[in-house]
Amino acid sequence: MKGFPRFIKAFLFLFLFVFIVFPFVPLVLSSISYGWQWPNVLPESFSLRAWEYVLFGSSDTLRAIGVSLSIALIVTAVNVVLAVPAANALARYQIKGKWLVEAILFAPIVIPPFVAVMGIHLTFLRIGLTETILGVVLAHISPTLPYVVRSVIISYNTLSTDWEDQARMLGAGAFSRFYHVVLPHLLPGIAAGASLSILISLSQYLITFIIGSGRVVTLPILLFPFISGGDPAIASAYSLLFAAMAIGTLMGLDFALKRYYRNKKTAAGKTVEE
Amino acid sequence: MKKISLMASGLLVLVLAACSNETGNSAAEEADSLLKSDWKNVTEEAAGQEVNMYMWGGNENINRYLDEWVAPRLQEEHDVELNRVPVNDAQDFVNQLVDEKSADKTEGSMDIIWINGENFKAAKDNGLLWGNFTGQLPNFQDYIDPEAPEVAADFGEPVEGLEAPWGKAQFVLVYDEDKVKNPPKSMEELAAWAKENPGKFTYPALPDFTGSAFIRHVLYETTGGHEQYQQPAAEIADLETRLEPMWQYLNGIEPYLWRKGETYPESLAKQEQLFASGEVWMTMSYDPALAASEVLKGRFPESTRTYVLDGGTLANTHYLSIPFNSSQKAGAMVAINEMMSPEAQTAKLSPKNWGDLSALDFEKLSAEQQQALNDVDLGAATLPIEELEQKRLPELSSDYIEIIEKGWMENVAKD
Amino acid sequence: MSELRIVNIEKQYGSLQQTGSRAFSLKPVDLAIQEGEFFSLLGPSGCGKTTLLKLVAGLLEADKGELWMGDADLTRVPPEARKFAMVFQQPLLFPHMTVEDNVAFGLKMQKSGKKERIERARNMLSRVGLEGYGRRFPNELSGGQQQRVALARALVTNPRLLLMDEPFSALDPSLREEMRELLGRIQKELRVTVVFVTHDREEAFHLSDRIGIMSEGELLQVGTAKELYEQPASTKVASFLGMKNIIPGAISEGRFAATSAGVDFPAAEAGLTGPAFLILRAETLQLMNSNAQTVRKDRWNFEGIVQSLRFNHGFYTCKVEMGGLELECSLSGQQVQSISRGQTVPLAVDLKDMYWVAQ
Repeated sequence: MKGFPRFIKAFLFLFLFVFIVFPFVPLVLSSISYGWQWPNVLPESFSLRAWEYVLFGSSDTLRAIGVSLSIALIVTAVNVVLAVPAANALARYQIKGKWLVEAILFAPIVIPPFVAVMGIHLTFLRIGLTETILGVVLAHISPTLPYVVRSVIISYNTLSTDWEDQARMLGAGAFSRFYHVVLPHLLPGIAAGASLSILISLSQYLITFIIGSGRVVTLPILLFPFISGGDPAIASAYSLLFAAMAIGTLMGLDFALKRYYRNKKTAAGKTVEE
Repeated sequence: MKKISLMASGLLVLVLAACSNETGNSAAEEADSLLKSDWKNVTEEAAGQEVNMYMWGGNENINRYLDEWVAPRLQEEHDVELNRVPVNDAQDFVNQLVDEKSADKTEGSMDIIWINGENFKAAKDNGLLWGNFTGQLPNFQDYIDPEAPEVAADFGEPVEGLEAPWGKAQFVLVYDEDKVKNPPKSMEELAAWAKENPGKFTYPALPDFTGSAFIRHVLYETTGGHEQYQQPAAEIADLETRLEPMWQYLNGIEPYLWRKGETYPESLAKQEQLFASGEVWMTMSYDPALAASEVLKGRFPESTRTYVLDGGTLANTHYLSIPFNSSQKAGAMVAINEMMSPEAQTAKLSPKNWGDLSALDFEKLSAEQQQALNDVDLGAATLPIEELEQKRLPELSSDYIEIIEKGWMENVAKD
Repeated sequence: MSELRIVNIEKQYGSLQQTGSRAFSLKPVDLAIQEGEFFSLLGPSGCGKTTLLKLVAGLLEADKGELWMGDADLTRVPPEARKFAMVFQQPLLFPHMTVEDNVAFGLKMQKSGKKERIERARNMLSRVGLEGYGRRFPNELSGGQQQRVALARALVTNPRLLLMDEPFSALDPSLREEMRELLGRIQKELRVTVVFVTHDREEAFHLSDRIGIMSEGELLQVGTAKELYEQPASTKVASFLGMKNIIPGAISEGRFAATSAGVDFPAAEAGLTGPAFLILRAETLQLMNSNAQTVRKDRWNFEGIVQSLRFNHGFYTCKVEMGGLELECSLSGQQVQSISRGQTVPLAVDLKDMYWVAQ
């Protein structure tokens, strides 16, 4: 019996390695390779040219990362604020025409974003929202909001109204009920939705380019021309940077969440031992 | 919750209102006067302006040339700040300008755009370009012959002063000196060489830009020269019969190509990979300095060389233009003028910076300026400028290109 | 004083157009509950007792009627401001809070100081027998412990009314009894007014000062356990209280007759005439000695055939057949030794133990 879980563990590790770590290896190699000619499995010599350009050249990479992250975080914050009441309504109330609301809300998942963004672009041009971070943030909401709403709906579905009734009977008003009872329950769902929202927002190229008109420079704006331009070293370096940014953000979110839960546990644990 | 979302949307409206500032209508009239005013007035107005240059951003060398060579000089000498905006495809910003035009956006943020060929035609047809400004630029007046065919027309489309030449590209064939002793200098020789070295030659499948350019050389050589194609394609009644020898030639060499011509590399990048790995012995490029820069990067072997056909190779010019709604037109003019200066063009020619051919008329340069250009070390892989200059062929207009690409699919790729 | 008055409260659920959900209506309820009283609403599931409880709580809005607490009209007061407390069937402890924080939640909502909150929460926890459990999380407690915490949490704010919705029905029977004892004790200690919803008559009888019997959206009868048991207002009440011996018949000229069973005897005490039900509580049926001769005037004597005998903690439930009717009686272990299945036994009921309700 004891060998079995170990076997599974080893298998999982291998699986993780093959599918998650392995794809990064050629990226890393390619980003530091010099003259990597075809039949060779490994590059013959190395150069930090690509990294030097990406990190210290005149390419404004750090600012682009900052812009990417702030857009993703603002978009996600707005999404959460919008998604919670929307999910509440969709999960709990029988509204007439609910299917229509859901269809509109989830359409951006199915319809390619650039179809929508063409229409948005003209409108944003007229009201002067193009080339602004605000405009890009608004445009990013369309492909990201559905995922947040979806995950919060799932959280709401597992929250019986009894909990809120109970809090109500203990004297909790609307805000307290939400803050002390609903929010903690929704938190895992919100975190899942927020992760998706952050990832999707970070990886937008077309929407950012069209609405931002090139003036809102996120990391994908710098990265994409290199992918199509055939400079594998710089494209690899940017891709790795992008992955690091995405993974870093998700880990940050995870860390914040874990700390939130641990604080509660340790605060409790201490007194139990007393 | 309701209250919070209300507040949030209220805030949004406020910000929206703040962003959509009134735009001045007099700006357009003011800009038009730039087309007539003294250059001195233009430079005065340009001082302090921030100019956005929209251009393909996928090449480290080009990006560095602009950020590290051009921008600091503009700032220092003319107090114009150059802000490079990286774009994935020139078509993207042309589409954007179309939207801005239909939305009547008068204060656009694109001040300089880097275009040529189809994108220029699209921009011109849609009225997206500002006007005949090139005659105002001192460097254009001094160093450009506006009547020269490679400057007067962009892929067959009359330029009419809407864009200023920035650089030139010329088609070259690339080979590995160690493997190919006598590279074929005509289509006839190429066919013979392919038969002798089966599987060592191929070209990117159309509609790849470079593959398509290679076919145009076949067209010129097998159907009796380029002169006959200077009129619109529709005006040649027997075009199909005239193209017939080209298809025969291409089908004739097909069995001796890489993988017996059953398949073609789907892109130039793929073909370059085949060349780098030694699977094929020749490749091609519309950038005469590309081979040298690939050697510098270690991708191509040191023994890589380039050459042009005896009958000449296609050349085209790429241009800088100013969109109709640029809000910093004076600055854009100053910047473009600066990028056309002999110093900037000489720096641009160096493979260390970019390796792009000068757009200037060599004859109009002073002796020292000519010397400076000649002194640029182009690397062993690049041909001397003079040799390139002497073997230039004009480009075809896009209507021919469409016909050829369609015909290739039907006549060559099909069987 | 602060008695709770429920004045003609009624509620309709689900109109006819809406298929899917069954239409249900709570017929007007008029009820006064004294301060410090333990009042139970007893009825089968779906009878509307929980609806009535939620109407009192304010979690449901009544279509008509009023709710008063002393001089205060609470009809339009939202539930969180009624100063009531409620314990649900499930403990509903907030999983992300410690037991102590759960208990102190109501105090926090009242904006009591932290120190006071903790002190009162701990105090209440020790009252429910959970001293030292304060810093644990709900998922570390057993079901019974969780429900105790829920009780403590409800009581810690000194609510003027404690509403309980079948709070022990999810627990094991032995735990249920333990909780019943605990609740009874604490209710007496704190003198808190309780409205308790249950479908378990033993629970209701055990705890309540008064009980309201509900069925099909209607409050049938209100009274003490003894009143209800001895004088059920209808056969519905009687059968819900577990009375099996309900004999249909008619009263005329001071005699009760059930023709089918061949029953006929005086019924002067009934005080009614016309079709009626005779209700006989199981323990009023007495087994006579076979040789006993004492035929008394104030007694109805009859014979029955023993159908079954079933041991029922401490006594036997014996079913006898008499004139096509099946009657149930309680017998002691000693009495049972002398009888067996199929045997014909003499039985008697004192006329004063008989009870009739009109048909």
